[in-house]
Order: sequence, then structure tokens, then C-alpha cells
Amino acid sequence: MHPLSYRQGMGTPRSPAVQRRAFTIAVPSAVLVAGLAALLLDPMFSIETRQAASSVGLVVAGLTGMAACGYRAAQTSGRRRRSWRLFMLASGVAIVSNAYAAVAGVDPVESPSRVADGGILVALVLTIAGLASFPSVRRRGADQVLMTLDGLVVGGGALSIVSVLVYPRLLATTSDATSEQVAALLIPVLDLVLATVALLLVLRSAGPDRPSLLLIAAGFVTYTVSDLAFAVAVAQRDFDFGTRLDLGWIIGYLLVSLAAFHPNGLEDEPDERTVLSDTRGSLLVWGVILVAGVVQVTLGSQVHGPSAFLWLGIIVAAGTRQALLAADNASLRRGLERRVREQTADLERLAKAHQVLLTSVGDGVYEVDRRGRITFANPSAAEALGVPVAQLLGADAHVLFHGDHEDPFGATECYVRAVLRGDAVVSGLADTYARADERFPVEITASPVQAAEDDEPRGVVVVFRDVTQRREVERMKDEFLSVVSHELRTPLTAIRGSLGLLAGGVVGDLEPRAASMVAVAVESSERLTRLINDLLDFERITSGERPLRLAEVDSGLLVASAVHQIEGLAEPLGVRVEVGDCRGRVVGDEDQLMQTLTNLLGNAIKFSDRGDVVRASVSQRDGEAHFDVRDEGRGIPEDQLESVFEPFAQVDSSDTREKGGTGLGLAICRSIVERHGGRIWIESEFGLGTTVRFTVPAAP
Amino acid sequence: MRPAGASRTVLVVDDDDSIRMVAEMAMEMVGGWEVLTADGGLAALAVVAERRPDVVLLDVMMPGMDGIETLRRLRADPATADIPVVLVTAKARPAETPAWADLPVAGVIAKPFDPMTLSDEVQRLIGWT
Repeated sequence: MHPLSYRQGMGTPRSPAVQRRAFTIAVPSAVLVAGLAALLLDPMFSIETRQAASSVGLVVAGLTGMAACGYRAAQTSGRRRRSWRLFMLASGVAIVSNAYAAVAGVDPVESPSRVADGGILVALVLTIAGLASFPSVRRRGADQVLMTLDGLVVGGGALSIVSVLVYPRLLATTSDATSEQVAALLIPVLDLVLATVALLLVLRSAGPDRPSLLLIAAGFVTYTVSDLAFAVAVAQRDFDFGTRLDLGWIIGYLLVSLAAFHPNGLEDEPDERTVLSDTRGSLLVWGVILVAGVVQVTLGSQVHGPSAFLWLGIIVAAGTRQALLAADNASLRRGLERRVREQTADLERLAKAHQVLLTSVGDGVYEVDRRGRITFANPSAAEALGVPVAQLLGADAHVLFHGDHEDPFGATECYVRAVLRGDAVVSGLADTYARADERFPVEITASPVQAAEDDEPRGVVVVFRDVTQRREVERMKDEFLSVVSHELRTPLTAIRGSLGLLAGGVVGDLEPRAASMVAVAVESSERLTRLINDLLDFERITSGERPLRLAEVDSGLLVASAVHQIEGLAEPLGVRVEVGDCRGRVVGDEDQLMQTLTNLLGNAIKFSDRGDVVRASVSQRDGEAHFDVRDEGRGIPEDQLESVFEPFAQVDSSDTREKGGTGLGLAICRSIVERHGGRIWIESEFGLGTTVRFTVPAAP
Repeated sequence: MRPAGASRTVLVVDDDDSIRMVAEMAMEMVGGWEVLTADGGLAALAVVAERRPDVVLLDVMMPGMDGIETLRRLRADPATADIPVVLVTAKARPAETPAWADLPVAGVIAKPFDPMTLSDEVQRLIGWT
């Protein structure tokens, strides 16, 4: 179904604005009807006029109430809809009962009708059911019973007050009480109970429902007044239909109608913000009992007969209510205590789990406070330092870890202080800790201990790892590489030297074919040298073993010296190397940037044809220096622009032999550039030339 | 500048016979030097004391007394302190030898070297060009 057509359907909620407008029209209308009825019931009018006015007023108000409740039921949903339907039904039953009494010509004084009175009682019970099912903040079984008992106590208390003020006359005349008269007495009692329940609901219900419930309570207060007056009048055999006594019923119906029109509480969503207060309920109940007791003692006669039963009922209900409340509170408390116990156990489990985690972790973990005193250390830390945990706690971390030895950081450079100053996390820093008489290398990560990100750190947590073994492995690898490079280069030097001397004709002129073979051997031995150099470089750079020595370098000077170094390669190949615009200074490792540039220039020259121009330039933008090395060579296919940076990848595998490359040049360049925090990439048009670009941070 | 008249004498120090031979031939036959050789640090010190060459080509990694120690001794002796020394090493790459710059040497030549330009390079390093 289309959403719009659904909205237009019967029984769907109107917008709150429409509902508010309806209410603003309903209020003056109700006042007008009540005012008119009050005017017409003035004794200056004849009894016939007054009876007619009263009948019309009752029928109009009753039907309005019924229609309003029905309308409201259609507007709401869920439990509220059920309540309003019950109210509608109750109004209907009440009207039918009154109509029956009128049509059957029942004289309430001489021949009260059981049917009419029974109808009214049914209507009242239906209303109680409607109120009971009204959604409120907390609806547990005990709560509903409690509310009913409260209603009984307050109603009974009010009844007692009324009885002291009104019933003496009433009871005095009903010594020969008939069942009809008892029923007549029951009705005001139920009215009172209803008014009380409605008032209690106001205390307990969600905020938006309160105006409606308040109006219903007010309606039943006016019913009570009229029903009481009616009961007294009947008892005194002095009742006449068509007096201002009838006004209470008319106004009662009108108030219920207004309750139905009130715009609040249309949505079936209990408002959880409204917190139920048992205290307010108790205050109301015992306040009413107190007032009733005071009235009874000061104004009432001796307590006997029905009055005694009433008080007995009140006391039993109040006692039961209090007992129920106590039991309910006890069960609530037990529930709360159980939850607290469970949550405490959960917390303990969690804490225990964290504890196990920290004690099991292989790295040393310790925490220091702002003064540098150790507040926590895990067993791994204690073991690494050779000091029991208990002895670590409270000790000065600086003194303990660095001992009497020279402190590599000094008091101001200490990473713990740096973190406390707010330098976030210090990670992967090398330090040396003391253990008894020896020292061992560690790698540390220090982080602030803070409850929230903006809080000042209350301390520092340091994770450290003994890197003795790793350092040993690194040292062995270095030694191995060092030996290998020496051992490889030594025979290579002899080969290259001998071949060079041969080729140079130092030991006599060679026959042309022999000369060309020696030339090949020279070239091959040179390539072998480059390969060894590149392999060692690549290994050192990618393993991070060759640290960056950063300094401010003039980019123009860099390019000029790289070009100068490479010119010897370009000249014999007939390639011209030009230096374009070179602006600004960069922050970088001069040696490594030189290596990158000579590598790129060497590639450009090698892949150029005779007569081509290779051009190098530097520009600055967005805090970065962009180095460009452009050639006019054959270019690189688009699908290989990225893969040429892989080790031993060349566009054509025969290139390696033909151009004397090692296949590691661009991989080394990428490593160097990325370690500078820059990027390197290639722009190429296949057949037209290639530009290799890389960026490094510009000097500020 | 190159000393006028006197013949140019170079001492080649290397523990590897073939390299010593190649260097000797390159300096002598390409550059026209009078070449002395030594196969280790101690031998080198003895030759220097006796013949006082114009320049020493010194290998770094040698068994026994290595090149660095030999250099230290040469510099420590006032009689030999001013003889220019050129290190000839298989570990001349910047990545491998970060501390070369601080040594009291005329220069560093990487192995393998080109024998045809070795003499020119040495002369350039010691300022005889």
C-alpha cells in the first residue's frame, strides 16, 4: 500500500498540530456546554425545563465522551488504544443504563432499578480496567496490585472523610438499608477509587499521558461529588432530577471527553525519563489516612458499624500495601545485590585476565609515575633486569635501569620525560639497560598512561625487549657481508686489473680478435663489480642498515655533481646531458640522493640513442622538491611502469646484458626515496621517451 | 706539484700477490713509477723507513697489521708523517665505509680499479697533476 494512502485511511494518527487544534476548539466548547447547563439548571427555571436541560446535557456530554474515547482509541495504538476502547465502552454502558432508567421511568427514591445501578457499576469496573491497562513507566505485577491497594486506601480515606462530613445524615436514614441503597453507596466509593487510581497513574505514568489522566481524575472527582450528593439525597428521599447536582455528571463526561482530545501521549512510547517514585505514593497514601484520621477524631462520632468496617478496610489495605512494598523492595534489593555481585565477579575476572596477560607477555612491561618511580612491573621485566618485582616497585626507573653507567639520553633527553611532556608515543628506540654488572641492549616503546586523550598523563608505560640476540645475528650478518664483499672483490680486482692491462696494450699489442675478446672480458668483470656493489647496497638499504644522514642540501648542486659523475658514461654513447631549472634546497642524505640521481641518469643515458638529450631538473611545490630525469629513449610500456621498480625487472630481459645493468638500480632508488618519505614514479610514452620523477621533502 | 727531477717512487702494500702484481705493472708500465712492494703492514713500515717513497698505496684489510694500523704508525713517526697515503680497498663504497672521510689520507681508491687510469688517479689525489 502506498504510504500516503495509508496515512489517509481511517483510524490513522493525525499530526500533533491537527490534534492540538482540535483540543483548542474542544476546551471552549466544553466550557460553553457546562456553562449553558449550569445556567439552565438555575432554580428560576421551571422543573420541566431544568429536567429537559439536564437530560439533554447528560445525553450530549455522555455521547461526546463516548465518541471522544472512540476517536482517541482510533488515534492511538498498543495498550493506550485498549484503555481508550474500554473508556468508550464504559461511557456507552453508562449512557444506556441512564437511558434505561429514564425510559423505564425509574424513580431512584421509590423504586431504584437494579439494572440501571448494575449498569453504572459495570461502567465503573470497565473504567478501572481501562486505567489499569494504561501504560506507565514500570508495570510489574506487584506494581499493579500496589496501585490498586493505594487506590483503595486513598479512596477509603476520602470516603471516611466524606462519611464524617456527609454520611451521618446518610447512614442515619438507612438503618433499613436495601440492597439498592448499598449499590447507591458503592457507586461513589468506586468513583473515589477511580479518581484515586487516575491520580496515582498521574504520579506513575509517562510524562505525555499526564494531562489526559489528570482530566480523567478530575472527571471522576466531579462524579464522586454528584454521586455522593445523589446518594444522600436518595437516602433522605429528597432527590429531584434537574438540579445543579446533575452538573457534576455532565462536567464529568465533558472532562473525560477533553481527556480524549488532549494531544499528548498519542505515540505508544513509554517515556523512560519519568522516574517512578514509591516515596510520593507512600506520602499520598499516608497523608490521606492522616487527614481522614484527624477528621474522624475531631469531627466524627464514635467509630462503629459501616464506618468501623471502612477503617478496618483502610488499615488492612494500607498494611498490605506497605508489606507488599517492603517485600518488593527487598526483592529489588536482592536483585540489585545479585547484579552487583555478578558485576564485581565479572570485573575481577576481567582484571585477572588482564593480569594474566601482562604477566604472560614475553616483553618487559613497566609503568612509572610522573616522578619516574616504578608503579608496575611484569615478571618478564623483573627477569630481564634480574631484580624481583617487589624490589622494582617504588624504585627510580632512571637510576635502576641505567645504573651507575653513563646515561645515553641524559636527564633532558629521557624518553619517559619526553612522553610526559606530551610527545605521544616513543617507539622502537634503542637503549641499554643495566642488569647486575652487565648491560644489555633493548628496544623500547614508551606511551603515556592517561584516562582520556586530553588528560595529562599520570605516568608512562614502557615496553622493552632484550635485543641482545637480534643484535648478535645482525652483527654476524654484517660480518658475513663484509667478508663476502672483500673476498669477491679481491680476485675480481686481479681479473679486472690483468684484463685492463691486456686491453690497454701494456704488455704488448693484441691481435684484433683477441683485443675484442679481452674488451668483452673487461666489460663483464665491470658488470660483475656493479652487481656486487648493487647487491650489497640493496641489502643494506632495505634492511635499514644504512641510516639516513639528513641535512639541508642544495638541489642544484646535487644535480650538477650527479651529472658531472655520469658524463663519462654519456660522452662515448653520444648522449648529451642537460641540467634544467633546479630550484630550492631539500632535506636528505646527500650520498644516497646522489646515488639515486646517478642511477636514474645512468639509466636514461643507457636507454638513449646517439644524439638524444637527457635532461635533469628540480622544481618545488607543496613543500616537496620534484626531481625529474627525462630521456628521449624508446619509453616503457604502460603495464610495466610499476614493475620496473621490482628487483631484477627490466623491460626486456636482454636489456640486462645489452646495457650492462644489474636490475637493482630502480629498486635501490625506490628504497632510498621512500626512506626519505618521498615517492618515485615513471611517466612514459612508449617510443617517445621516459620521465622518472621522485620527491623528497623540501627544506623549510 | 710533482718533485722536479727526482724519480717518482710508489710503495704498493697488499697481502694479495696477484693484486700486488697488477698494481705494480699498472704504476710502472702505465705511469712510469719506480714501484716498491710490501705484502703486509710491518713489511711496509720497513720499506718506508729504508726507501721513503713519494706515495704509499695501502690496502686496508690485511692479516696481521692491517692498513689502518699501518697508517697510524706512519703518521705517528715524524719521519714518515708527511708521506701521502692512498687507501686502496675493496670496501670503499660510502655505505660500507662511513668513517673514511676522517682518516689522514690523500684519498681512497676502490677495488677493483682500472689499471690504465690508476696512476693518473693517484697523482690527482696527491696533487701532482
